[in-house]
Amino acid sequence: MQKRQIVLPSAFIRSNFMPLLLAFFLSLITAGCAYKDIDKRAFVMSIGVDPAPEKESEAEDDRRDQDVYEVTLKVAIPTSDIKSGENLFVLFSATGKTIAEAIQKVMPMIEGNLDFSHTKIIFFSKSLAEDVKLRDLIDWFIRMETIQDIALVALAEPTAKDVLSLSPPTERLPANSLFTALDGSGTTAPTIAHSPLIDVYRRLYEPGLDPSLPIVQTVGKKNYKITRAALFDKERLKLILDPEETEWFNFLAGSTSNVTLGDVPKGYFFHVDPNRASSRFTLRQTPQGKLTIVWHLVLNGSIDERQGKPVSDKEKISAEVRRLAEQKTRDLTEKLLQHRLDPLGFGFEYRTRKPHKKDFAAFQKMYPQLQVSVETRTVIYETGNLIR
Amino acid sequence: MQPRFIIYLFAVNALMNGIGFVPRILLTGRHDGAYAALLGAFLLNLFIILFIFWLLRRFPQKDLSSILAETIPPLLRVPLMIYFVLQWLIAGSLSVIMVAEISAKYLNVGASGLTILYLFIILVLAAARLRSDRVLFALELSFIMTLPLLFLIVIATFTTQGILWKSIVILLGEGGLPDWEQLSAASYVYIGYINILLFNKVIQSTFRLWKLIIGILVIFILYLFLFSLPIALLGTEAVAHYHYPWVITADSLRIEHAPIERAFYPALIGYLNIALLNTIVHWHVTLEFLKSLRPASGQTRSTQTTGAKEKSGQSTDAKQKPAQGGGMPLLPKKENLWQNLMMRLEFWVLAAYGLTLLPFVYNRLPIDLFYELNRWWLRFLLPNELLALLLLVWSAWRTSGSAQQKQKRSRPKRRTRTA
Repeated sequence: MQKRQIVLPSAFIRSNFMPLLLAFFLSLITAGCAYKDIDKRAFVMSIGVDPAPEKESEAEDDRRDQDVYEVTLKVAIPTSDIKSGENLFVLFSATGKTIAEAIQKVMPMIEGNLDFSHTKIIFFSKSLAEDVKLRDLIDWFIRMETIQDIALVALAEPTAKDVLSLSPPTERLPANSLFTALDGSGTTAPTIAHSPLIDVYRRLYEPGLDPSLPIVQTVGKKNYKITRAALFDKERLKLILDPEETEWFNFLAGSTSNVTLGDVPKGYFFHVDPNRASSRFTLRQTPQGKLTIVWHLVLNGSIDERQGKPVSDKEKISAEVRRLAEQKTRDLTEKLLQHRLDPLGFGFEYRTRKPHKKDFAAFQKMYPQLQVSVETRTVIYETGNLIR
Repeated sequence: MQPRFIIYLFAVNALMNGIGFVPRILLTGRHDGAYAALLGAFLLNLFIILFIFWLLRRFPQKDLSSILAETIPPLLRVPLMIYFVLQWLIAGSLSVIMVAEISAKYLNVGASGLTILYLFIILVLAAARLRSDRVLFALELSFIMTLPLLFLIVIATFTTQGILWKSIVILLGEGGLPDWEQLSAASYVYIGYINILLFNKVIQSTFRLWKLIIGILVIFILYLFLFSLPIALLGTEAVAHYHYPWVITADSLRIEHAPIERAFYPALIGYLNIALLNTIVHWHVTLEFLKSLRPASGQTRSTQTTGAKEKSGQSTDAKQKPAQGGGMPLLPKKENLWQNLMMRLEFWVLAAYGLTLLPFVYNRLPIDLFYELNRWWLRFLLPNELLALLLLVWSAWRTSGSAQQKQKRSRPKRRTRTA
């Protein structure tokens, strides 16, 4: 019996240090499973989805087998130092019946493993958004765990591939220029709205709140402009606002307060100060039982420029500004009502008062007949360096 | 040990809500009375917690099993303790599986969840076999270091655009009454205190009960915030589309002027850490309760059960101060392997379970099954609390009889009056 006893060899092994050592060796396993070195990854900065080019084929079967999407990935080429204009990148494209399938086809084209954790912008081409449900388009992106939920979504014109291949001379990092423009950390242009992935997905399912996306257009080979907004219902692209409407839409939506109002024949340019402007709406039930959207606008701003023979009275200018703002607000709101689009959340506001589904169905029925009224407060509090 | 350690017992459950299925269960019922469930669970647990802590004052330096040893016959006590051990084991297992699953899914994308699970289980086992007081010290230290990461979420809510707090007004307006499952899920936030049934042997219960009330109120308010944020950020409908709404919420928060733009990674690491602490505490309780099931008397439970000769090594445990709890070095001095194994039988049983069965189950079964399991386990939560409460009441009643006999001389009149 005595001989069969296994006596543990040394004090070292017996000590409490053993488990620590064990844990250390076990932690080495992890190096083998998923951790890839940074130079073995291909960082996808931006993804674009286009409709697949149509194959010229007569047969029914072939047409059914046709790919639906063409996915383009913008993969960054890392450089040792960051310089302006050295935004090196490669584009990879593949087609597939689903977005995931197309991306699977890109994988063999590059030596590194595709890494989506830096994907910050997602482009859908405008023509695709008209044909395919946005819920279907966005599904892969929201489902992937690695893609940031704060990635920005935008529509591209003419195609997503064209927008991805842009390389503005001011850009330092691949895709950084568009990202800075779209997320609002750079330019404060009033026509640019921010639409993170998570917000678009929320709006696709939230009753009484519809999605809207900014449209990025290419200008020449190197530049772009973001001046219009695309409005969706719960399925497809329904309406595209022109630049002036987009600006006002963003102001009403509360995403910018950097708006301008000008009336050239009368010769002034009214610039609303971002810190002193606000817009909000309430719903009001009139005694006749009609529901009214009441806009409360505060437009405190400054006169940036006067041309020609200006109106000298500030009161008159204020009145003019008020009239313009009210007209713009009324026109835009009525346009939204007519198209049965609700990106500003009138229905959402209604649900906070009457949360039950039955009430909301009734609200949707009377949606185009809602009344609009605008209350505006305007103060011209400064006129720049000049007194006039 | 000071009563402040009770805070960490509470916090370990209250703050781990992001990891696990509790938000999902509650958010599934968001249209019918989730908020009522939160309020109901608050009031119910306030009552139960106060009552249990009040009762535990009669049993200083004793854990549940030694309390029951005095008042309940072994035939009843052993099955009861085994039942409790199973409950604690399942609780710990569920949270360690969630930690592995979520870190494989969001933190180390592409890594095998199984490897991660093994690593976490080894860590948990190594920590759970420590002495009770050391577990508490480790808990405090780790918790304090994690806390700033968790508050990142709160800071991030102020810098993130597009949070619609009005969504909560909508859900509150809908009203509705909660069902049992939601009430149980909402109770999970407070349930961390139940570990006091073991840690009572090391924590002094010298504190005023109103501090407990304040603590529970703080948890309630905190959880109202933690529950409402996903709804406000992910939408009243889309919030129910996610497996882990809280992880997605953390991912959607953005701090523009921070070293890392995404608040996601630090916050997730913080929450995973809390969930690991949760597992450690639960499995420590499991281990200690298992140890108390040994037929050997009192603290010298070590080598007698092996039936072998007496060795000098067994005294390491026997010499412990009473207020330190169990725990022992993994490989003790001067033992042969068999004695060593038998001495730490409970630990090796837990280790065998953790390193074979649990990874096997995790590897084979879909995660939805764990969701179902979690739901079922939650349904037993409130009954278990009440069972523990009843046992304590019973024990207090039984021991108060003997206490009265001791005090018989001091108040004989009252007894005659009642008689």
